[in-house]
Amino acid sequence: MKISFLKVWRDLWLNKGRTLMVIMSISVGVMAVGMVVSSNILVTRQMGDTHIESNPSHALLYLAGVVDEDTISSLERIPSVKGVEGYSNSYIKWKTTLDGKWEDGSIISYAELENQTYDKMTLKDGAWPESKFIGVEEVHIQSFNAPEIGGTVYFEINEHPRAYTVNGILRNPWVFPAPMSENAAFYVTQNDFAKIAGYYGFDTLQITVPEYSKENVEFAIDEINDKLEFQGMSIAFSEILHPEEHFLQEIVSGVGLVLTVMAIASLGLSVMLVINTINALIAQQIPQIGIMKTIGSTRRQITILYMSAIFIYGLLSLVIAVPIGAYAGNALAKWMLNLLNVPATPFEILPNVLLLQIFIGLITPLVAGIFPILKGVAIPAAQAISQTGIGRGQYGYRLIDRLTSGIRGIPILAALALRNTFRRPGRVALTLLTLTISGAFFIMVSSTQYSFVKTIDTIFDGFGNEVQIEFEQDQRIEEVIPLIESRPNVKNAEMWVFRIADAKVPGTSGPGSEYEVFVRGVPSKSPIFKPKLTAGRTLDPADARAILLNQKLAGKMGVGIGDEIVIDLPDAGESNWTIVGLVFDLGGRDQNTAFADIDTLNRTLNNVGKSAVVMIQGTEQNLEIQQAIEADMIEFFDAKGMTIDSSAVATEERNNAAAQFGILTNLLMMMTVMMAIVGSMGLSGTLSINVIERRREIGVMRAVGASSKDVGIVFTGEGLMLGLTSWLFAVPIGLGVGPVFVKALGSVIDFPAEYHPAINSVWIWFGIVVVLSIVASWIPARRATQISVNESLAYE
Amino acid sequence: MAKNIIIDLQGIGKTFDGPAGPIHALKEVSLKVYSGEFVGVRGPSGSGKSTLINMITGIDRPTRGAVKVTGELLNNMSEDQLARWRGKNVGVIFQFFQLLPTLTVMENIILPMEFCHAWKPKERPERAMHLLDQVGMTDQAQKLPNMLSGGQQQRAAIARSLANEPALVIGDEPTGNLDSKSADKVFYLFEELVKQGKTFMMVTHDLGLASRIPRVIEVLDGDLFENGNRPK
Repeated sequence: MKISFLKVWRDLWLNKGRTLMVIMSISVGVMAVGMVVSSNILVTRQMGDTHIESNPSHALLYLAGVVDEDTISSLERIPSVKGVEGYSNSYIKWKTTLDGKWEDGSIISYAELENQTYDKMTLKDGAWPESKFIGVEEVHIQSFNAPEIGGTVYFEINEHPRAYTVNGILRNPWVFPAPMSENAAFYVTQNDFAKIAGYYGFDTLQITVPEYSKENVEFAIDEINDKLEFQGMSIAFSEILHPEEHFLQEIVSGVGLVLTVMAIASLGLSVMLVINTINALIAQQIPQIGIMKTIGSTRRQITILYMSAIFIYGLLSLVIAVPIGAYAGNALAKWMLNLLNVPATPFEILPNVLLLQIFIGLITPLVAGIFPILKGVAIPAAQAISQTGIGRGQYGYRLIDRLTSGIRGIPILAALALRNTFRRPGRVALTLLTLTISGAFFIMVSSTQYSFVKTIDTIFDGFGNEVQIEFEQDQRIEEVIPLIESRPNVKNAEMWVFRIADAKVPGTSGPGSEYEVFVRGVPSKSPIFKPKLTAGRTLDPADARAILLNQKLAGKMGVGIGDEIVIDLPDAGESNWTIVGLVFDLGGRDQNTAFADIDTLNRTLNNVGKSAVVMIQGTEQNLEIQQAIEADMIEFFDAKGMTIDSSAVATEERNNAAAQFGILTNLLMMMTVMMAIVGSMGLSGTLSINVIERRREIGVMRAVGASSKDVGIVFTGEGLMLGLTSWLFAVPIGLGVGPVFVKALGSVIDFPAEYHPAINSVWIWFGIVVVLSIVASWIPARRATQISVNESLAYE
Repeated sequence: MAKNIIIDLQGIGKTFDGPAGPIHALKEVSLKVYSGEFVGVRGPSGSGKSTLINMITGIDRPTRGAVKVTGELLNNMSEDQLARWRGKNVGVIFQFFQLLPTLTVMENIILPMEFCHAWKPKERPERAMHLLDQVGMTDQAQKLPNMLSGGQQQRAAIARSLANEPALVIGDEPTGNLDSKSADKVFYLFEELVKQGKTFMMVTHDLGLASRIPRVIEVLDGDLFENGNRPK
């Protein structure tokens, strides 16, 4: 090995702490990019592969009623339709022991489960369902404690439990684990479905068209609906699916994009750390550069030497970053795929990601280091050699020096810590920037979490019901309400009407002109319904066919306050409605809701005085009371022969919604923690470099009587000063950019959250930054205290 | 036989910008040194000794005047040309030794040969050992500088200064950081070098050593004096 390169190697080896610091700085960014890019690729690829393997349908049609196999055969004969398959899905009650509590669940049945055509399920273990033997959804064994093979499930049939044995574990691509799903899913034969659910036939259709296009699918859906209506049936709502793209791909890509941005931010922080460390390294090496120049080395030779050192840093960082990045990427992918009920892939190192990491790991530090190196190498030999001893850097001339040295009357050690902190403005700026960005992200992500929770609260508060029950059939409102309000724990109750309809702008027609809308009839003077209006006003009993439209749907339709829309209600035909307000809620599918006065809607529907949905408020707002009301309602109305089709407790739904968003915000927080680690590494690195640079000063301090504690206080004080200064910058940036971040994230995941700053996070970050500063200062401060007077004054 | 002029300073001056105005470190001085001469440079702190040495070694440039050393005009050379010229023609010895701390003594000596592509790579260790032998340091060849005494480090630095067989060796207070016994040993080496035909110029504060140097230049407030007169 050439002697000059031996010097490079020895410099790395003999300064293990600094070498480790640079390697870790590069590694964090490279690892973050590797992890996020790997997981993005693995998740997207696996989602796409399993989606295509399942032979995806082009649309799901949820029927208002059920059809038999003959009807399905007749639908397949429609020229615009290629294939039709039906399945049934019903809500049921289940438990695993006779004395256990009934749980909500669902059963799903196909004509032939093992020979499905579209969106095929996979048998993961055991056998396909047969008479009295059922399948259980794989991810629900853990999510809802559903039994495994050999276990018993009791379904409620005619108010009695009937035992079924689990003989298979299945994976349904349309079913998700908690909290993405609220109930356990079981798979049964058609006959068992009829026994448990009480009806035979198919309530959902999966269809394909000869050649996929959105227009072709819409056309086929219209033709199917026409044919079904001819037979007295209809499609309640439909969902068009892309055959080559998983139905959740858009959201997953959005989340991936956000994580990628944060990974790039981590890489950016890493780069700053590398620049800082290389700057310091070169500053420390300037006398040696001078000597090398004196004994004949050219600038090119010296540049190559230090670039080689950086190249080695890069190589060593890859040794750490590649395996950890790959492992973390695979783990993250597995976790995300599990959430989406997509089978995880075996551990894999992706060659493209490996190449990307190698490129970033080697090139980024070289780019970051080239300027400090060229700057250092350009220093004339005379100046370079003369840079020894105390007083390097002309302290006292700059404004910041004058400002900090102008602060008098503080303890001398505090003054020393304060003045030393800002002695190297470039280094301080980069360290502050790293810590500030970490802090700003922490505050932004915390505010995002808080904003999501508060937005969910606002939405649920706007629909102030605490318990919702839905009867199997419409009931007379004036008879039901007094009954409910007479029950214990009930404060008040009201009935709503739910309908699924089509809406369009007057005068438009053809594919794409109609929008599915979930119409809700609500009392105009309701103590329960107080939605958040984003424009206009609420409903007034004096209004004639006035409607509140979801703001997102209004945006899609291109309508606003005062505009008229045409709503095609089932069994009632088209009618014109005037938009008086825009509301923000998460109801329907993709926020496609509209609210009208219940009496006006019922008159249009020829359903005056009737409704199936009851909204109840309790005397106290807590989960126990809500669950008690729910249980009482089911028992009370069952005894009266009025079957309740479904029920829901608001707090549970609210918690579930918060948990779903929590998945994303927790991911973001994980990336923020990574940034905080980079930030504290930057701080520790800066202080370590300060110790190296100021060995002579430390020696002088020791010589004039400073104890180890005094020296330690000076360096810990510097760390705290930097940490707290970064906090002062991070707070306004975090709170200022927070609304933009929440809005951007909301648009990515299609959740227009309102911004609510998490003020607590400001103080939490204050605590974190104080602890980080002390921890990051500890090693450098300890090193400083170990420097002897002789050693430091002899140091060159 | 007429001796060659190895250092030829023609009216050189050096001015630095200081907070309180310009500082004239050297005032249009001229100096000629011939090959094989042993020249001492004396003067109080801040008189301009180091500036003079830096002009001669090409480590720094004059504000005015011409610097000709080993027959080359240094004024117009680039930084890299100066570095390469210096590596081949001038050996520099510093007060604080300035050995690279992460290289062994022998590696420190090989380094200038490597930078200047002097000697074949295989011959360099042998050459380094030869130089270490000259300064009585062969047994310390594999040690790191910090493991040596000041005198030993300076002897290693002398060996390094001779690595590329320079015609001129310059010492900037090379004995200033040594005890008198070590200083004496090192000075003896300098005398030996001059006997071997090297031109040697050293800055020193040591009156005893200065008295043993045949030609001594005094530097005072940026001016040069020799035997009480400006050197011709």
